[in-house]
Amino acid sequence: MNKIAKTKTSILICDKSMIVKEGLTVILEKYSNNNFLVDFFSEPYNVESLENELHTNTSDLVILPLDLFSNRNKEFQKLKRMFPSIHWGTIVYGFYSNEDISMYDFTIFMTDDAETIAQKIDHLVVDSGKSLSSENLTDREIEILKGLAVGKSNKQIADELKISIHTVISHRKNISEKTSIRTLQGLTVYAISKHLIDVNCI
Amino acid sequence: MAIISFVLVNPKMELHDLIEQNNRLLLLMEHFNTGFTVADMTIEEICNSKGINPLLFASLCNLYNGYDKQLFEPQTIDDFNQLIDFLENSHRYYLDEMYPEIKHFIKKLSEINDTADIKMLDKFFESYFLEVKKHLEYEQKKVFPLFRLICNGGSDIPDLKKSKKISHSDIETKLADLKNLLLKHIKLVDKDGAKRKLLSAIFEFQFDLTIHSIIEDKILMPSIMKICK
Repeated sequence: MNKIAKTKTSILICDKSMIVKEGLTVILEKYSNNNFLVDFFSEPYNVESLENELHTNTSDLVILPLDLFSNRNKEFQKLKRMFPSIHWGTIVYGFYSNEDISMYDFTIFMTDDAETIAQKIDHLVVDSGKSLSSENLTDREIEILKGLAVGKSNKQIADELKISIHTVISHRKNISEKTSIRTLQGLTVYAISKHLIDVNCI
Repeated sequence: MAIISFVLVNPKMELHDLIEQNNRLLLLMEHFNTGFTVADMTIEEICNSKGINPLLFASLCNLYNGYDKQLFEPQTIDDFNQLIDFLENSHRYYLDEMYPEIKHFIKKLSEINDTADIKMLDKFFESYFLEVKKHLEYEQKKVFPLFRLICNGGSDIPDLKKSKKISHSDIETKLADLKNLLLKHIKLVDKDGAKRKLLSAIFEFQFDLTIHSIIEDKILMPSIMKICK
């Protein structure tokens, strides 16, 4: 997994709920192995003001409520392109679609305990100098990339991971966006260059 | 692909000045078979001496200079033939120059990098260029002769809609992947500037291929379709 290379990671929590903001801050202070600078943004339902905030704020990680960009995939992709170094997380309060959560680097569910939440965020953070690269592929994206690179079809991957083909396609789009590699053959070379698969597997 | 904009060209301009500004026009001149000794001649003078339509020449100069808004519309049989000759010459350039050049630098890098990724990149390029060759061969053997037949008023014109679609997007996407793999992901030990030379060759190929696609898709094809209506 590609991670943030920082000794102090700045997080922007965009949520209207004070309980969520304070809760996450306490969880990170208590359970995380890393140091965070936590900042809050209270107007997440206005995408434009969020964009302005991100221009002035140097966040490494932004946590958004899932419904902010639900069914607004294009707008979110545009924002991600605008801020390619940011890692994106989301909080799920209710019903969700796999397609929506596939756009994020990690997802916090209401059923997650404090340690799990801290682990999910820690997973993106490593000490300075250990950064693998800046493509920010999530674990699920890497799983899908490996499948594609060894010649599996979208359907085979969907069956194995118990997700829909639609979700696989959506992940694939994200992989291409992050790596700037569009073709299957190109992705295979990419996977080999990052030691994700062995050349003998092809 | 973003193309840097230079001056807007017209046939009254001296070609020497234009080349000083954008030396990629040398490639265009090669595709037109004009030779390179331009003295102080204008586009019009050079074109008249070579039997090329100056408006067509200036219009393609503008493509190389980054302007693709006002495209040339071929009117005469000569215009069509000159355009097809231009494209055929660029095919020769891809096959006889670009392929061996890119291949040479990949091989050079493979010699000093015994890694799986450069071997895979070599394979990727080989299979990519095989597709390019097939595509160029198809155009050379089927499409261009058909176009020449149509614009020369051939009596037995096949239905163009039934012929295989000419798609350049795959070719361009794979080339972009090759470039991005080298620029963003594959770390290689370099020697004698081999990686830079490889990238420069890919950029040059990509640039000319983009112009090539515009000529085929936006100039030649629409005009041929008009004739067929």
